[in-house]
Amino acid sequence: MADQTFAWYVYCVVPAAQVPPLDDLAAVDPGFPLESVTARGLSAVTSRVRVADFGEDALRRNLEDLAWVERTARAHDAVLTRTLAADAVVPLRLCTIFADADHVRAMLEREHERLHDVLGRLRGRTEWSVKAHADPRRLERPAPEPGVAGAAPEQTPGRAFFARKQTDRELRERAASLATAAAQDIHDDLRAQAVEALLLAPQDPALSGRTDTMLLNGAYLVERDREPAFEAAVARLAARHGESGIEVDVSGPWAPYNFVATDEDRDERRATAPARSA
Amino acid sequence: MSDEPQRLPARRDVALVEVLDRALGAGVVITGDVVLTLADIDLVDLSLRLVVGSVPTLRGPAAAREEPGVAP
Repeated sequence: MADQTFAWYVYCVVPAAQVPPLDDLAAVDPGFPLESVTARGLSAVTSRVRVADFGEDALRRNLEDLAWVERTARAHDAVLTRTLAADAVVPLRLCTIFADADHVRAMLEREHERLHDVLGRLRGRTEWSVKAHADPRRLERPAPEPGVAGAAPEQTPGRAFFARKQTDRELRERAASLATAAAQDIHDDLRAQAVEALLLAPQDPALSGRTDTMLLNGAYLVERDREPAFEAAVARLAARHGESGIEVDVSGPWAPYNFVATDEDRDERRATAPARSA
Repeated sequence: MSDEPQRLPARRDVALVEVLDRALGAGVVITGDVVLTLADIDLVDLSLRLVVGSVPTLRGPAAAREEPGVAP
């Protein structure tokens, strides 16, 4: 790629002739328009990028810069969100770069069966994110019934100390089991509303900026006509768990980033975990 | 374009971590024909490890677990 000035960034693949209008959206390099490359009944949404920004060395450098990463990821996601207007969309991983449009076309040729499979499975479905958080101090707050909290006043200081330690440990254990039960309840309920459901790793508090504990980071693939029912279910769960200090948040619709694996991919993953990248 | 109204998602002000969780941590990884994917880049030494720490899917299989758990 060293003697080359431009490369092709690919955002996603949609059924051919279903690329929504993209003229008003900024590409990852706002100096170039979004354009589609079509082959085998599939359109890849692409835009040109400079090798000086997206070549291997440049990318390595730019990925150190969280502001650059944010700009790029938001531009990427904005394109994907727009393509939700199509029947289905297969999101590609951030920063998937091809040498030129011919290589994008070659990818569509080579991958068309797999891509059509995934598009078929994702048709009319979107991804929703539901997270549950709790403030551990609030969960560990003593239950209102008498006898759980506090030592009796006539105890010696030593006894009172050990009684308090015992109580603290019981409260922590109770909080942990309360949190697990709540996360399970929320996930089970939403899984029943969804076509597919996944539990993602909890997000890093350093990035989310939250000081409370993430109990659940769920992703749900939902039929478009079931979206109102899904959102109603989230509202119901938020009300049910809000009393115990658990906050339930929903965001969506997202492009189905987390639901692109084919059955074949999944079988292979089970067989070869974990050093696989496709 | 068809005549039916397009449903434009009403999603605004989504937190960066939400976007990174998906754009970096999920989506199809293409290996052939491609000049570069994030999977080619060893992120271990990058400050972006902060992000990757929360999205272990970056270079491997989905971080899906069978049952929810409580984060430490």
